Amino acid sequence: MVQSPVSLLIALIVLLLGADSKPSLLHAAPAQARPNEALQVDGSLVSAGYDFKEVVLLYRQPGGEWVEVKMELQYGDLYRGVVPASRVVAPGVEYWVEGRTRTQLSVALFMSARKPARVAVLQDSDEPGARKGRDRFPKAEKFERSDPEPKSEPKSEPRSEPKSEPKSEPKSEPKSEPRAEPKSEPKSEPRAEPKNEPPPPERRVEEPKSAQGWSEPEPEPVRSQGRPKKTVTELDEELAVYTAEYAPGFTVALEESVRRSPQSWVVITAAQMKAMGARQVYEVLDLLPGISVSRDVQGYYRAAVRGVRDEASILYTCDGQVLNAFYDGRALATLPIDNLERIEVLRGPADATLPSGNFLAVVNLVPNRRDGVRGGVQGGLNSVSGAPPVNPQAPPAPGAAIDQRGSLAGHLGAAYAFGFGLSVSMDADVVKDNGYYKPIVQDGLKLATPAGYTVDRRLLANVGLSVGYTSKALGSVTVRARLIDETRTPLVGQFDTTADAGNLRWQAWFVEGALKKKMTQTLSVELKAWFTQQSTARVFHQTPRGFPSSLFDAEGLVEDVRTGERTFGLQATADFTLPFENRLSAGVRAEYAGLFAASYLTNSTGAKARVQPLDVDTPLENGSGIAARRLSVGVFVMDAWRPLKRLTLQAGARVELAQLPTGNSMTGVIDGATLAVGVSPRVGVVVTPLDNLALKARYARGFRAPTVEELALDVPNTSNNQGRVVGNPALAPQTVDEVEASVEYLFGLGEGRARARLGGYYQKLGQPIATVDLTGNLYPYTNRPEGVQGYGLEAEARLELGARAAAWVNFSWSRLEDLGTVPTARVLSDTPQLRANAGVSVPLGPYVTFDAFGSVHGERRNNARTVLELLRRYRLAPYAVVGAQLRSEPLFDHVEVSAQVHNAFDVDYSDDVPRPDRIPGGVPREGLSGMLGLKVFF
Amino acid sequence: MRASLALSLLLLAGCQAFNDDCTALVADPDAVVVKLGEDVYLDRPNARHDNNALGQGSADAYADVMTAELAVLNSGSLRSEGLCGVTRNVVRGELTDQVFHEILLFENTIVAIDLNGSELKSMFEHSAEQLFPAGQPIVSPSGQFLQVSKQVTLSLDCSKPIGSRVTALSVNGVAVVTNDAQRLFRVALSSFLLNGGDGFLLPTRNVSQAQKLGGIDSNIASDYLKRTYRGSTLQKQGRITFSNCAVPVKPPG
Repeated sequence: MVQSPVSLLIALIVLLLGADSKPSLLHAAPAQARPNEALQVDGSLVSAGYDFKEVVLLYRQPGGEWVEVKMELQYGDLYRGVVPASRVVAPGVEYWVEGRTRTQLSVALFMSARKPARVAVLQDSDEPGARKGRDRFPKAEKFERSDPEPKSEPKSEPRSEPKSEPKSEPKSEPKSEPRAEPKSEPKSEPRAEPKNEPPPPERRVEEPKSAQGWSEPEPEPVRSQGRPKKTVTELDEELAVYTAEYAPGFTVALEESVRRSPQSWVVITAAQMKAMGARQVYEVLDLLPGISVSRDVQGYYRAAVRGVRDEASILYTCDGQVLNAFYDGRALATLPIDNLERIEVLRGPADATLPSGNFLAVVNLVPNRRDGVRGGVQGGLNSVSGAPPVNPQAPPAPGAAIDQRGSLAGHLGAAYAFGFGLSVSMDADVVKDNGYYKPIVQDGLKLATPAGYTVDRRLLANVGLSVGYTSKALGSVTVRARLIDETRTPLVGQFDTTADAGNLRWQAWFVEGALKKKMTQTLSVELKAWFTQQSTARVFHQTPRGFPSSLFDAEGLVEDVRTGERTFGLQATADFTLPFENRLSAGVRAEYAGLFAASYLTNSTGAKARVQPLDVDTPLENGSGIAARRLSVGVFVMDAWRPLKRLTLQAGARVELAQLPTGNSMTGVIDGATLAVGVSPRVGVVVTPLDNLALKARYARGFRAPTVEELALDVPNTSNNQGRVVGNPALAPQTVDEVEASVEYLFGLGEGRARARLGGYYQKLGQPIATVDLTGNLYPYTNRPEGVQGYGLEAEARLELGARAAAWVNFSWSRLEDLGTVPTARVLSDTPQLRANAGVSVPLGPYVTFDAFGSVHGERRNNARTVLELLRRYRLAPYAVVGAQLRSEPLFDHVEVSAQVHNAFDVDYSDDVPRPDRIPGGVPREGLSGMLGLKVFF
Repeated sequence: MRASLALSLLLLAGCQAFNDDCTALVADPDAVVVKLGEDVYLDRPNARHDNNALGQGSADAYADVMTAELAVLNSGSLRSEGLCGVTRNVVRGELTDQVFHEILLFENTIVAIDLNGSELKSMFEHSAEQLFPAGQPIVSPSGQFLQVSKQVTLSLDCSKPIGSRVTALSVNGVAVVTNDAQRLFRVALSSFLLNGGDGFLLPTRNVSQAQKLGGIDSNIASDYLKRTYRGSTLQKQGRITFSNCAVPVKPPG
């Protein structure tokens, strides 16, 4: 049928106006369950503006006490809880789901204590099948009768939670939900098997509306078959009416956050990270569309977002605390994933409320704060690839001993919420990793072949603590603290040579206090204060011991760089709930950051001891320390408006004022200070013509001031430092303007569901800060005044079939062009333009799941912005790496074990180096490795 | 595994783009910069141990763009690596913009500073430090040897000890005196030298930077040579006179 444009428009308006939402969990209860098999409860949370701290599944056997188990966020707003196998016994199980807010409000999200969902459990002797199951419903009737709940629960209970009352749900979702998935719920159609069913109760016939919305068919046969109509109690009738009005429908709706935010956040839950086989944060990031992760010669991970590789342009936060260092913008984010509940990633600038630094992307790590105690340990082996030395001066090949290739990691997490509003949680990780050894065929010294081996040893400790207290009078008070300490070796070396392993120490403290209080019905405020201290001590060996012989220093050439910094900050935010579906946020953020230590010591000037060369000024000295301290103030306002039920508009702006030095780009001398002002407007729109379809578009501008390192890094002008980058005090802040459009679709497939997202973007970087070697000598960071433009496509899809079977795939393509060079040389190709990642999870019996995961990276080549870059050409071939794992389902309800292998085919691949003419093989990357894991939780 | 990967990437090959890494970064690579009246040797012994026509022409360009009294160019900035493995030790005839930019490949900016006579002489002493005396083979000559613009006449004696090899120095025909600190010479040179490259320690007195053509040395030199030698040829001039210095041999063509 051909619709006229007018009728289509009317239909669209009707759809836009038709939506409403109350807090609920979109979930379809199963009719029955097998005995002694865990019953999984999945559902999409519609929070309707509630800030739920947790979602709890409450279950019991007939007549028993309610038992709580927290539902775990899988992805987006999909929560999952499990009734343990030991509790799934005949005659059945009752359950309901409750959401709890941070202000201690409990809201029934699916059914209620008075009216729980009921699942009949077959006897062991039963054949599987609906028919048999239904025949057994007289037993279900038995447990229904024995249900003491109505006596124990006052009838007024539902009225005490009017907002949680699911009665309104049919009005919100019936138009699309029940019809969207009729085939997926065949059991919900009692009339489908008329021969097996007695006539439906009269009230059903009289209330077709109720019958239409009924998605839990079993209680009806229970009443109709097992219980004569005349025996239906008043309570049963009430239940019938009540539950019949509730139409959970099928769970095909995009999460509320997706439907309301123009930003396309990617949320990777703990379950997904586990299925990806990831061990630490950067392994997760490397499997996302639009992001690729490489390692530099020093061993630091470098995430490139949409083709732009700049760690200082990615805002890393953990529990809301900014991890990026003031000195160089890097973040100590190599955290294990085991204590993380999820990782949230946004490509492109975020909304205006996020602090400065959300330029290319935002990566937020969310620790697991669920009640309980969790512990885990993993151990494994990494690959060791020795190469026969061609030159007798070559270093000996590493051995295969466990002290050179073994890894061990331990994790502990615990949380407890006291009844009077106090909650305490902690997480701790310790990782001892000996990494991998691979030969580096040639380096800048060319003393031997191989020149050396990668050394990837590290020891990491991460401890986090959070204490929260919530009361109506005080609001919500939270204090968080975290310590991350990492000691590791340079992977290859400092710049272009291999030598004895150095020592890179990085310690970071984060402390934050926050008060959040709802002042009135329309106003809530949040005050935050934080303190951060980061210290680094990085010792690099630039030549082998005893070289050069003229130095007369057994250590060889050494560079010892130390920094220490402290940051203090305050932020005040006010959230206004305004008429006409407006939500306005406004606030101010002030932060002072300063170096308290900075030293550069070396013996390369000929001295035996490490001394500071005369021609090196640290940021503390150059310009009397102007570059070593910065006061930044950000003022932001953002409004989200829903003029129509299915239309959300978002607009905001952020104004950043940052204190910057001024100086001479040629001499590097800092001579004054100035105030840089960045205005970053951001607008977006979301249209959801269907609950399971979202169309988004947005524009955002980002602003990033140069780091201390970019402004004031200085190294001596010696022969072994030629080609290194130094600071430029005349750098200007860089900006990015980005336009993005995307479509996201969620659809049901039987008992499964699939999600697909396709997006495209265009971005223009203004005055990007780049390292472009023009001279082959010491060269400064520089702004590219003509800018860089990029555009690309990203697509991702995820299919979930049942409880444990899933498949996912994503693909991204990007093109980045430096507009400061001739048209034939504009393409920036040092990061892969094509990326694809995929994974699959397949259950092998009731206790074991098999996961396979892999990624494909396109070819990389040197950029061609300068003749030097042309001369120092390299090509890094495309490659694919595959991993796999076997992991158990919870054993005895408390234990999980896993065995995983990474780079299963031991594919050789490498990353780029600053001097490919001197290290032509690049940075060799990890080979085959295996890991065994044990996880215990209570 | 690799075959399937290659196949899948082949299907997507059209989505990837890479630059032509054998073309220098100029808008018109085939444009003629200058016609060379004789072979110009770019091997290290010749480029760093003798007068060089391209070095001289480029120094003239720097002096011109900065309106300086003289200009210098370190010989290490004259390269023969070429792109895509094409080594050009000898260039002759019409010199295209691509080849010229491959020779003058470091994209330094051109600056000007003020030096007095003493500082000027010290600069040239440093330039002559690593020259090999007659009779010695020229092994790994240093790039710090300076080519000079047409205003400069310089005499070097490699038999003299380091620090006293400059036997005569004049600018625009006037001998430079070292005891007059007030007499300042405006000198054009690359930012590489100003920043201490090749071991030069120069005072940063009254620094200014070229604004024309992005201030890039190769672009400035290319433009100057196109304008100046239209209809004529560029030839090496004996601006620096060598005494008792090793003489480089001609490289094979």
